[in-house]
Amino acid sequence: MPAVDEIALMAHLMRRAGFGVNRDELEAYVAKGYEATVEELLHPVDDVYLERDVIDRYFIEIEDQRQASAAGGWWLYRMINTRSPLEEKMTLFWHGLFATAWEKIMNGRAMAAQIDMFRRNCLGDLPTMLVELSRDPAMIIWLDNDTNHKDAPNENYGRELLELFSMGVGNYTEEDVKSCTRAFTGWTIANLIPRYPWGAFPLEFEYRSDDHDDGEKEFLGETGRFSGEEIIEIIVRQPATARFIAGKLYNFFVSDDPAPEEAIQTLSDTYLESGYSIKAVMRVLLNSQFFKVARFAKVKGPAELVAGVLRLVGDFNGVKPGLMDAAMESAYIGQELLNPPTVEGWHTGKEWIDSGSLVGRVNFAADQVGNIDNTGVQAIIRRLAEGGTTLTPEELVDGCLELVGPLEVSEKTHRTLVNLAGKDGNTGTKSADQRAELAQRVGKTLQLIVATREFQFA
Amino acid sequence: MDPIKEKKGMSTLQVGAGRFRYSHTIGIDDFSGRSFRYAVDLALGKNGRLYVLQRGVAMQRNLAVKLCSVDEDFFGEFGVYGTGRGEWTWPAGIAADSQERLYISDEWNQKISVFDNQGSFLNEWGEAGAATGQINRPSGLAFDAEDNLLVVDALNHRIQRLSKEGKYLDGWGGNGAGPGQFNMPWGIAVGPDGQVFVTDWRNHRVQKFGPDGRFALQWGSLGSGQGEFDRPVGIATDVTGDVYVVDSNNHRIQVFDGDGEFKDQLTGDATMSTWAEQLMAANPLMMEQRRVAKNLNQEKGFWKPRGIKVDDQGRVIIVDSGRGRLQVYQKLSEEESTS
Repeated sequence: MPAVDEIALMAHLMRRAGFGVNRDELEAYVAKGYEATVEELLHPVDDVYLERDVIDRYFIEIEDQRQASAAGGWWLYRMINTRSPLEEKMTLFWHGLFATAWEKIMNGRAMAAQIDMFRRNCLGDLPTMLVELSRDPAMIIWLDNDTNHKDAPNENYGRELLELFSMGVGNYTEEDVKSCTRAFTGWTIANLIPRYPWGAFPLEFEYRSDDHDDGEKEFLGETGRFSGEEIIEIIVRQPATARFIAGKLYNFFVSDDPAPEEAIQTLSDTYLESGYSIKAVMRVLLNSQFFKVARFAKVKGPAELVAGVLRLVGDFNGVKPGLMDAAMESAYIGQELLNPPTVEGWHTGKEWIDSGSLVGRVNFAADQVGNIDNTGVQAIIRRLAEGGTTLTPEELVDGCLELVGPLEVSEKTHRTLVNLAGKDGNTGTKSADQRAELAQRVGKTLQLIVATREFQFA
Repeated sequence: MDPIKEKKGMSTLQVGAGRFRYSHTIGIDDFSGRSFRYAVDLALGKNGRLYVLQRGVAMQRNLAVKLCSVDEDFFGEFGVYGTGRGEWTWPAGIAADSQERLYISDEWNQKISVFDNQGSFLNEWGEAGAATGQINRPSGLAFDAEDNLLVVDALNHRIQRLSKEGKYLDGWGGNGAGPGQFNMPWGIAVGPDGQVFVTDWRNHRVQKFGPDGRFALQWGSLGSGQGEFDRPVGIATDVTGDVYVVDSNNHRIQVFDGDGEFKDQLTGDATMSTWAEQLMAANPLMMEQRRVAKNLNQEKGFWKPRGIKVDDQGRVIIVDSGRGRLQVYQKLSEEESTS
């Protein structure tokens, strides 16, 4: 049997580098070993097992992807059923960093194509990602680069590329913004087709050399007739970019608190030494001591929470109605996939939580874990029943805490859970009546657990 | 070109190998009312009447049968989302019997429900399972010459022939890729001599059977060339025995003779429908958007078509599912196509 620490560490890895795993999966990962699991996570497998054709057959709106909810539904399905969880988690990271919203694009297909692009490049190198981002039709519309003309520049994209997407404010001048903007003139949309009367069409990128400012530019201390690609080459080799990416990855994967200098230095050095490889940075991050000790140092984002709970209870493992509604659960508690509030993305950490969203989180999770027909809940019941002929209230609580995480709770929380479970005394596990009672009590105990403060943390 | 003056219904365009003339487009893509949203199939009534089954958006609960005509009249709609009697969750196929009663398959509720041609609920039947007479995700429907219902029993990978009351009569198939086997079949059509044609969706082929279900021949494989398919969906026949296959992921219709010889293909020629013209006329902002649009030619093509029927006048009506419209073609006579 694996050591408790090994289980807890692996559960931590799978919460952060994915959306959590059930106990069977967790034990299988522990058997592989930590570093081997990290390597597996860094090498996503072909997703043919997801049977996209079957999804499309039964969920026409997912195939069509005209609304954010449909594209979000497909993404949630991937988060629940993926065999490459880090791929989906990285995609979520990039979506938060390069935040683009359906609210303005009004074209779910373009939004979904952007998410696919993030997934395709999620563990690649930063220059490729930034070039593809600059060519991405949804981004072009989102930050108005289709109105960035040689004789009438629009600085929106050029500025945000530097400020929000790569270097951070304070590391460039206004002249750099103007040069960056000029380099991306002519990067536009080929087909602007109105939504009426036939719906949204996939958008296509077009480079128009006749609208591109090919003149000399000064940018971050260098001079030349830089193209957009060349501007990105200059951006990605800046130490400020290395620190920016390191900080963003640290805050998404390690802790909501500011990153310590040592961690930033380690990650940014890796970034520069590896030729701007995100995979290399993630390998160092996930194997680092600062990552391993950061258990429950992050508030779960809404999409993480929803996907994690649905994975835990084993729902939506196949096609069934309600997938888009499930995706909207994340929206109701503060994170509508493909529709972030601004170009800054979502405000994370403790800002995920307010009195309304907390109630929503608890209600959603309690509904799911309280449904004892869910296969994941049944698996928890089965494991507990195999533990002995009788369970005391403390054993029931400890068993449930172990199987939903393991989840570490404060002494006070633990005492409260045991006291509440104790009202019904011990429970047997062997006879049919006892099993039925056990199932009900497990459902209730799980509902109490997902209502704790500790369950909100990853 | 004036954005709303794009000609409709007057095309002299002969398409494919000149055997068809594009006629006109019906519908707009919209959430409710006189429009389509994820239409999946259609049935033909008398005097050009059409019954267009739309799946709708699950969260908007706007599934329906839209009652309209091939001449772009709109008569109304019916349909209620749910799991109760006469309600649908995942409606998939529709067929009209000889008395124009409408039979609708539901892939989630695992049943066939029956309505009159005004949308009044009459009956429903069906039991989920794999035993004879049970169904698992029923999709395409068609009536044979005796007015019995052929049901594509998709997840049981078979065809079942049932009476109009749901009594099992006979059936054939099984899971696999061999002759007479299926992998999640979808559409079904009955030819003029009673032959049965089935789109074998995940095997990317069409299979032809005798009226008694005996395997006759098959054609197609995965691809985008002539006679190849990428997940064929709907299927229809005309009075001459030609077979029309909705090659959905290739966004086209392929036409074959009854022996599977390729004859033609249609890729879409949509123009503004009357419904669309009227919508534009009432919304100047939409007209302005069309005025400044780029590459409107992309609007013409099919996008994930699903259903198809050919009426007794040779009008080919295609459910252009991803675009919220029907495209109509006229099959030309031998003389017309060579003139």
